[in-house]
Amino acid sequence: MMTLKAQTLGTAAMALVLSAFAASADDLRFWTTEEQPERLAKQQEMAAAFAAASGHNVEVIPVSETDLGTRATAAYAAGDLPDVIYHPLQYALPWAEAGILDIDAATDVVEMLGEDTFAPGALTMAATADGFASVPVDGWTQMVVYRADLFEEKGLQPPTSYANVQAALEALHNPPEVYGFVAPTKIDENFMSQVLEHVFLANGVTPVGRDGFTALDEAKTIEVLDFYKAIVEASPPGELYWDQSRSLYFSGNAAMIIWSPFILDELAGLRDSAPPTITDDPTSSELASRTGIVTNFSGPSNPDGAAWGDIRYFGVTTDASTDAAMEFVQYSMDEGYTQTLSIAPEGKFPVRRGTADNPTEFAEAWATLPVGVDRKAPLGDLYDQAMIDEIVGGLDVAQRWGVSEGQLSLASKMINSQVINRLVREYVDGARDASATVAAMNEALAAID
Amino acid sequence: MTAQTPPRGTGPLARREARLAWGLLAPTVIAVSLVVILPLLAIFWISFKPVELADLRPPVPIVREDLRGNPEIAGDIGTLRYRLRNSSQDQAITGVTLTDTWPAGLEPVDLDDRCAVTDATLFCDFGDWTGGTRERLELEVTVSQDFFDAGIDIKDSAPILTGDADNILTNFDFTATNFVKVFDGGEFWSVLYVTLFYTIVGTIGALVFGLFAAMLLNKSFRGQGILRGLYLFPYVAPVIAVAFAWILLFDPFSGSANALLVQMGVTTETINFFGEKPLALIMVTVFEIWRYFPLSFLFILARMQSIDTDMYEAADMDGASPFQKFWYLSMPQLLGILSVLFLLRFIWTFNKFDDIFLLTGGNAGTRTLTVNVYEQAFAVSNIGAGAAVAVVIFCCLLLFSVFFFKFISQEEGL
Amino acid sequence: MSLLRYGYVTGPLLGAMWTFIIATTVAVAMSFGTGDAFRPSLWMSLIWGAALGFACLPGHWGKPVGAGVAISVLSLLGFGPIISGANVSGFSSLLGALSMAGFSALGLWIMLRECQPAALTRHEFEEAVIRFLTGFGYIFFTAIVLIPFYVMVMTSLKNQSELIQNPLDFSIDFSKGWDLFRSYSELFGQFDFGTYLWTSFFISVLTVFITLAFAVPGAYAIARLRFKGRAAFGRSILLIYMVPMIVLALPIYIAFSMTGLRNSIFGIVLIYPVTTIPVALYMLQGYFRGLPGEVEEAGLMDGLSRLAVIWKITLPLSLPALASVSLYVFMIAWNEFLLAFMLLDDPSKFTLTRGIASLNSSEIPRQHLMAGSVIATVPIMALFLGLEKFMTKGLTAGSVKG
Repeated sequence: MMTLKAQTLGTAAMALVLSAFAASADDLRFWTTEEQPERLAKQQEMAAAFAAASGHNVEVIPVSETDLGTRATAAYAAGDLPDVIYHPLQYALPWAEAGILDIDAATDVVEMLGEDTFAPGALTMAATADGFASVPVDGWTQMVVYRADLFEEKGLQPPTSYANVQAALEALHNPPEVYGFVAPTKIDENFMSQVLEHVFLANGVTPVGRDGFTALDEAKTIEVLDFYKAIVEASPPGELYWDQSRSLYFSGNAAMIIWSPFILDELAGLRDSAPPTITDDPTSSELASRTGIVTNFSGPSNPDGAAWGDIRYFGVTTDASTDAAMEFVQYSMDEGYTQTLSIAPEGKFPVRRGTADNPTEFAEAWATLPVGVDRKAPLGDLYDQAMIDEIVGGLDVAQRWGVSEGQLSLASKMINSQVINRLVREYVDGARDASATVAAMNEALAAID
Repeated sequence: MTAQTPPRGTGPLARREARLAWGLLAPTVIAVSLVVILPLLAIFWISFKPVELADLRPPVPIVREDLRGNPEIAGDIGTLRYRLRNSSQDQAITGVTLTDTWPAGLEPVDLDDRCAVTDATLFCDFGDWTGGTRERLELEVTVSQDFFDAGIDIKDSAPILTGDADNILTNFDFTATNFVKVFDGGEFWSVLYVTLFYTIVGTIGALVFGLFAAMLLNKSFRGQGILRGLYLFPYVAPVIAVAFAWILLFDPFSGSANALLVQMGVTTETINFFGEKPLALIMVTVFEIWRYFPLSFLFILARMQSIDTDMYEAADMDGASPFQKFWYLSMPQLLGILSVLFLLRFIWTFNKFDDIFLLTGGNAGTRTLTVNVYEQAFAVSNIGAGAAVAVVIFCCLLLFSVFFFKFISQEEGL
Repeated sequence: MSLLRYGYVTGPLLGAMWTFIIATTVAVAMSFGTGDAFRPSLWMSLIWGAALGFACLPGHWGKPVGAGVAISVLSLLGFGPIISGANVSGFSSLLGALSMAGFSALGLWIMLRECQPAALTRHEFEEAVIRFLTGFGYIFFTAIVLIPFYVMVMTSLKNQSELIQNPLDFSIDFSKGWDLFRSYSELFGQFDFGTYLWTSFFISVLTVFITLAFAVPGAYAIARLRFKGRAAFGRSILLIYMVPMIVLALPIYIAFSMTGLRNSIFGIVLIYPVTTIPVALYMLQGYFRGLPGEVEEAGLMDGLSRLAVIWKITLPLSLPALASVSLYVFMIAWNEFLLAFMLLDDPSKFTLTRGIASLNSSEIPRQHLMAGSVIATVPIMALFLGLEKFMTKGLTAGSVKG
């Protein structure tokens, strides 16, 4: 019979005391999707700092984001889930439902840290009837990154809408020197799901309503499909995901890409393993100075447009040594929070703005964190303040399918099934026409619960 | 066991020999039946059950316990809270009860009517739970000085939960839905077509190239040993290493093969070798040929070197040309080994999983039956459907084996 | 057909084809070697090749040499079988042109050794064709085997941006010094590849020992002892050998999940030998059958028990076979990927193949993936080349496991 250790809540102050004389030292396993060598090293440092503070050892285990879903299900079935999983938003609610995440533990941690110290949107996205599925850690907003210099040269409007992007493709697409766009086509990468959802949201199309699945609006979806087809046709051939879009943009062969803010330090030549190759000097911030970004993007049927945000969470699993796991999450969100964000500050905006005593502590600390891997500089030195405000401000208004409808869990399942990726890809490859594609999507999406 | 009468030796001796033989074989028989026969039976069993990956975990009740309300001095009111849930979302648990040591120094103010405290033991009965049930038990208590003095931690006694749940793997509900699903729609036939194409073309290709390579090396010259070793590399290297090397080599974006083709003016646009339909299937088949021609080559070479050379000398006397000698003299000698190789390789290629899985993951029209097992069982988490596909594979295999043994009994040499 | 068998026709025809093959080969080799632009020209190859074939018909050795020089000069001028790009250095162009012309002429000279210009006998004609095919075969097989391995090794020494800039540039920048091996040092430093290597080695060796412990007595029983059902047994071994791994992996996965053996090295060591025992048994019984029975019978006469006979007589006699089987089993265990992939999730317990699979992530630079592949390939290749005789024997005896 399974029993779980129970735990006492003393005063909030008591709860935050992590004594080195903890009753028992546990060995925690922590799955993280941040598997780049440099980021992994930083997380291991943090685990060591936590071990010194608490006596619990943490083994940091990198897991590819593409495998995260299957690995978690398999580990759940085998009863050897890790203790803590760092995961993207779309897994929070489905995993809580499937019994992988311990809602009570996450809720307790949020409560101890103070619910009001978190950005409300981030908490809402992980809210269930019984509490919070996971603890929000950080977030970012997706951006259209474009070559402002080329746009200026041709007198083009910034790519804030479908129409502007298509006008820019007309003017700039000239392969192999310059591809108008580099759009993802590799269907098993999350990147394609992200970009597609952003493009769908921009035109106000969503597959979920208040009562679950609602059929995609045919006219609006066809606009989305045709726009996506246009940007794929202006992309190089092959199975593209974030890697090629970044490489091509860095080598000066792409006019526009959609990417996360994680690109900001590399763009400025601060990371040797992904240098801008447009000039002979891989450390120059030349390309950064020629780049513009857009976070709010609109389609013809939705002039207000939308920004797409991603929040990442710490989930405590149901197989965890719960107390130690909670301590670890709490530590990472409190004393260690600045360190957590410093893994890659350019793509990790604080969703916990401060503590009860100092409500803006973390937001201020984050603003001074240097970005970059091989060379470091604060974001403010590389980009002008207006652009940084545009990126960070996006997080408060960022949308996702199903959040406002209260159907995030269903929307997440739809995204995780990758059926939209597959059908859009087939449409682009010419397998069926637009309205048949919409019908096929509706059929496939309706079948998901 | 009846005593057989072998040409020499007597009954008891023969029996002793047989006993010894079985004794020597026993460990192998036991190990193999545990890991091969049993799993095969299990596969048949599971294929008739609607099992999802998550069902492998039997449903259990789970509890978390804490003391709320921050009681600080004697007389404070606190809440002893138990949060319980059913670990499974769809399986019911019957007869759930909770037993826990009642912490000394806590006076119950208001007990839940499902619970009773007797002899410092708390016992609660929750009855039956449907899937996904969550319960919250809040017991209001007065904290006395004893509790603080004793320094009791609520954690000291872990609550004990009981409950019965049906185990889907061992109950006797059978269903044919998995098979219906497997044979449903056009998908099964396309998978079968891909499997057959891959198997037949891959096998024949490996044989033809193996024969060609064997003819090249069927003479002595300096460096023959080195070349022979070199040509075996594809087979000897770990599949995962060579598969990834191929993926990089043929990458549409930064692959050398594409760069070369563009430079040679063969194509203007790069080709997505492992990513587009018909081509991906052809590529995985080419990979299969590349990886397994060394094996055919080794066997054919061994056979060639054992052919009597007198025959050729006689043919030379009669003025036969090299091609005639090959066609009329060598081929008939090689037919035996070629047919055995064909059958064996056919079966092995049919069974192949790693190569396609690593190269394309079964995408772009390269999903064979074996990849389908993995897809169903792990990507879609439907173990039952995966098992059903495995059963289909096994039946095909039995069919081939019958053929194979008909042949092998006539063929010496392997 | 009879028209073809005419020296003036055969020579130019073979010449055209051969020159094109050589031009392509040299262009590919030069491209891979220098990263510069080289390409064969089909029409030029056919035209000049035909002329070269004509010149290579038996006669004074000056003819082919002259023709070869002429073709090199033509190539340098841009009208030859091989065309080099605009910014290719003079030395590379010269090297390309000379090797192309040299190999073409040399090959044709050898091919057409016995062909007179006039009508050919069937024999002479076929000999020429066979020599042509042999030459082509060597080039073809060597290329298809070497290129993937070459790409594997070279990619592991480059970095991401260099690769994307020019996927053909595999030239090594020696000025980087030890930095060339940065991927390797990162794999051993940050990715624990030392541990994976050791785990793989440990598991493979253990598998060999366990397999032999089971298979030797079993094989002996089948080869030497008479008992009921012997033939059927021999067959069923082969049959087991034909059950696809994926079909077994599924129930094994379920059983391991439920018993907690998943994610443990012990579980892997439990499973691997079972997959190799049938193979080893089959190979060994074939070998034991071939041993002369008289020696063993003499041993039995001397009052040794059967087990003592196996231990003192049979095993020492079959050492070479044991070496072959051990190597073969070692190779299977070392290369095994599927079970390791499905059963191991915890990086501290990864085998090498599982470790490489974990590098296949878009977050990790590809040169790491290739460096990992090289690390897995080198030991098995070294074993293979060092003990090629045993290995080949093992492969041949090991039936056709794939």
